[in-house]
Amino acid sequence: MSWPWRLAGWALFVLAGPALLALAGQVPFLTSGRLVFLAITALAAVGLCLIMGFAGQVSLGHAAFYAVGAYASGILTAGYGVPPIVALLAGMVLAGAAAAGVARAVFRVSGHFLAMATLAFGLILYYSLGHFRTVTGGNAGRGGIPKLAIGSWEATTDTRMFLLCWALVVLGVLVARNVVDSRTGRALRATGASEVAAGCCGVNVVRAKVGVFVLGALYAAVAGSLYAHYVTYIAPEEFGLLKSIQFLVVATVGGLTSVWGGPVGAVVLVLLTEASREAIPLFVEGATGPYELTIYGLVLVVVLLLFNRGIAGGIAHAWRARGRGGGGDPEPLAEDATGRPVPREVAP
Amino acid sequence: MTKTARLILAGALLLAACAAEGTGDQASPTSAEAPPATIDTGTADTETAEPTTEPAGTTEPAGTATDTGATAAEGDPVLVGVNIEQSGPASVQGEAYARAVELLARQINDAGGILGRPLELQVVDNATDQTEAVTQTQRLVDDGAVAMVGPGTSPTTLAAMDTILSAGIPVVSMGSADAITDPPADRPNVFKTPARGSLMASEIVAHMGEQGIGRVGLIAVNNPYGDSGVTAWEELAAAGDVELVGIERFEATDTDMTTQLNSLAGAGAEAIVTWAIPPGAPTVRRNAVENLGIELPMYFDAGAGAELFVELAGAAADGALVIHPRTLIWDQVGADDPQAEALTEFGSAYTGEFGAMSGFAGYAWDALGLLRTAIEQAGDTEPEAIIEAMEGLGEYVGVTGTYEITADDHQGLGEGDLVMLTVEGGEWRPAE
Amino acid sequence: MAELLQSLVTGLTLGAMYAMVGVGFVLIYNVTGIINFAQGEYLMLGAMTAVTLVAAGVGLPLAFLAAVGVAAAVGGVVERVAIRPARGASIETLILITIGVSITLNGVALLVWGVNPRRYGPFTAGPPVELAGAALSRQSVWVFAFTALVAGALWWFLERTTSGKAMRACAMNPEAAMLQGISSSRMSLYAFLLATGIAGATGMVLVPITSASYNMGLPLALRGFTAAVIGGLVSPLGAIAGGLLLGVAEASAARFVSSGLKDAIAFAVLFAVLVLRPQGLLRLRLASRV
Repeated sequence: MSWPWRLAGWALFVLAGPALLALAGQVPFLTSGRLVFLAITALAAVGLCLIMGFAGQVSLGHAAFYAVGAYASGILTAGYGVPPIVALLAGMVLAGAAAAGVARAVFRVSGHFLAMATLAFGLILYYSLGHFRTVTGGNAGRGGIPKLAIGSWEATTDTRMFLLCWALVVLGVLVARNVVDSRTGRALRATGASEVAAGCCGVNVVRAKVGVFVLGALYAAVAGSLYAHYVTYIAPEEFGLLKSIQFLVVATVGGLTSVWGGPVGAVVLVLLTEASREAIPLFVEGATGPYELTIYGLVLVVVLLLFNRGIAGGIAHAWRARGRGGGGDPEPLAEDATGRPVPREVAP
Repeated sequence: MTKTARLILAGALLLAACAAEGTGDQASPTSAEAPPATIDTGTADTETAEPTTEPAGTTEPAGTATDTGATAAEGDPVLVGVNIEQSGPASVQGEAYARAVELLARQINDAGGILGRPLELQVVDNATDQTEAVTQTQRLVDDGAVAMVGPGTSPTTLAAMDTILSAGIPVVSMGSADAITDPPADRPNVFKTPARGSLMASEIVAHMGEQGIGRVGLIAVNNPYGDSGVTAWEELAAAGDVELVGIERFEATDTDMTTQLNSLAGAGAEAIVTWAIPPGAPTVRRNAVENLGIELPMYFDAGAGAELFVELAGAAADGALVIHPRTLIWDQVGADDPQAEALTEFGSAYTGEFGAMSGFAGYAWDALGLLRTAIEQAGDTEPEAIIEAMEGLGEYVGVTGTYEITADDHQGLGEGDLVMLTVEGGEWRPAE
Repeated sequence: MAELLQSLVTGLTLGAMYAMVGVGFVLIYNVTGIINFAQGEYLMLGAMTAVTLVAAGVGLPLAFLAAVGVAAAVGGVVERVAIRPARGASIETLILITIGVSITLNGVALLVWGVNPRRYGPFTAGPPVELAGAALSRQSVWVFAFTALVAGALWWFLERTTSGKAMRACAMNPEAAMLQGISSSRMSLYAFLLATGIAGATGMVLVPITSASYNMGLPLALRGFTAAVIGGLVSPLGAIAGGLLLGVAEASAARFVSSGLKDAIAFAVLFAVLVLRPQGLLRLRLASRV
């Protein structure tokens, strides 16, 4: 894609933040808080897209690194008066170290075993957070976390916090784009497509996988720190399996193979769940009750079956395919949600 | 199957779910349109939305006002937000809270409303999710609520605390944690209706003292609610009021606590205290009585006091000792009990409408009742006026107890507000 | 001594529960290669259906059949609608789809049945059975009997019947099975029907012990998966053995280490097995996955 288009794309992305803010004033269900959480989720989801879409590793424990960032920030700033930025960096280091350890252990296996191992890790951390009361405040959590401050600038209002978070999302996507387009990124994608082939080409498969897992964890850690400073209270319930699944749904709907998958997925899901909450009572008389769960699940299944590249992935694919004329080239193999080619059907 | 067919099937599933919901047991919330003018609550850091016409969560669709009975109230409605857990792990409480506030709101409107204006509830679901609790609080504030009932659990309330404090409107929570209202200097606009965990624990200790019991085994659910119990009992043990021979935990989803009960019995407990809500609490009781044949006295905190306790524990419920407000024996208090009138009014209305009494419902009933009385006394819906009135209410006879809210105590219950109850033949009775 | 025995009894009771859920995982995995994340939801569907019917006055046997029927029916529909169309996709996508199904079923159950847990009493009332100082609740006896029955029936089905052997053939080598005229599509459906039917029955049997609520599925599914993994994901009997082992381990952890950490320990066991010995701790060979 030529550079004016690219620049326009990035500008659009950056401006989407303030645009959302403006929208929040008009649309009733878009409170400023929801926007902040949207940005935080988007950031964590970008990391998950890198892990799942480009390295092809399913992570069902992403919320664990989110928790590490949140608790590191929370405990250090509230308990020891450490400046928020330092605490955030400490969270990143901790999450990265944990991710490296888990990755080395977990990447000896693949497929289902890998996924469930990440699930198990996430749950181990979750229960540990609740158990070690003196450090983490136990199940009751801990509050009194100060607002995020960089030097003398404090994110005291929702607007400031959102703009900061959105800036980080833009930065995050930028970094992801650079990683994906770099030599390391190509190695990553090769690993995701076929570890054997990549290994034959001289790619250090293990190092590539561990590297991307750590990178994804860093995104989650930053998102977690932002969360802690925004809500000023953290408790383990927020960081359980459901949170990991939420990141998963956001990333999948947005598009696992696209660096834009995080932000796109976050926006779409917020709009979808909220709009349907408003819309359903109009169709069904006297309808009350929580639909969010059902909608989440159906959206995930439908997207996986029909739009298996997610929304951003689908758009990217269509853009790339628009140049291909008819005839000559054989139709490329279809891809599933994680970018792997789906073998052509052999009739039984 | 073709893509179209799949889409249709997915859509049909969704619609089927909605249709089935029509016959479900969720009560329709009593809420109506938010007023066109958003009241400026003086918040600096939350976006004030344009006039809202779309309530979130489980509120009624646009255009329907269902809170009017034979109302003589006129004028701009007084909007009170209700932020509760209608799905997720705490949904059992959420349902009871919704029922109680809607019932009371209807009564209030039938009697002429608040300050002569109709009372309007906006019920939103925070799904027992901390993030959602924050956004729904903001939503209510943006929509112009002058006060808020809820959230209904400690983590949701504490997560929304920052937003609540910035918004400044009076908030009465049904959460259990002391941190919700303490320290009072840091919580100028926050109140709560359930009794402190420390009060429940010390009342239990007092009862145990009368029986000569000094060694206690504690089993608590492994979540913030259980943690509050553990903290309360550890404090009592540290003060020497009781000896804690063991603290066992179990997950809210666990179905077998015989191991933990055995540990406590083996450690020499003379009584076992359970800190949990159903289904955990009745399961512990069943395990103890039916599986292990434990005959030690078993005490439960107020969280066990719901109709589900008797229903899920079955015959094993008999003989359990529960420290609880008088709501569960509303029809058994003597006429000379200061709460008699309030209890009868609440009990007959609630059971008349919904069947069994709910141990949780009273907290929400009192929350709305306190706000209503404060607003009436203040003669005004400005936050500071309401808060000042709340603190100056003196004695407020609720169904949970007689509240004495002051600037230093935003909870207001004390000794004598709770009673020890037991189950006899599947019915709640005062214990000796 | 009596205490140790009691822990063992409790552990085995828990283990039997996990074993039954694990069996479903193994059946589906062996034939289709998919881990059915939603396995616990079928148990929940069976339990809720049974509770609703019993509350309406229906007898236990009929409720049992209904539980099996509803769970299997939903399982069959899901297989055709959500799993089959994605059969060529990567493992990761399939995992995500089953997660989506799990969430959807959870949501639908919440809408249909509401939030309150429900329960009916044990199949046979009475005091617990005394076993050398340890108490075994009557319903636990029913659960053990059910487990043994399912184990026996499955063994007979897989070893002695044509359909069962066809299923095993499909598990061992799909292409070769196809050459023999076995339709992998049909086998996949059968596996789902069987696994979800068993789950539904399990749910119905567990209600007196666990109570039925819309969110009861996930914790059991996680434990069931652990049981299946310990057993090597190879055979239903392996899953049963794995489940019993897991139950005893969990009860022991609660008794001797810390009841607050027992779940963390259970998942640490899962993590360790997955990472260190994914072929499972037990090697019962009734079917092997090539």
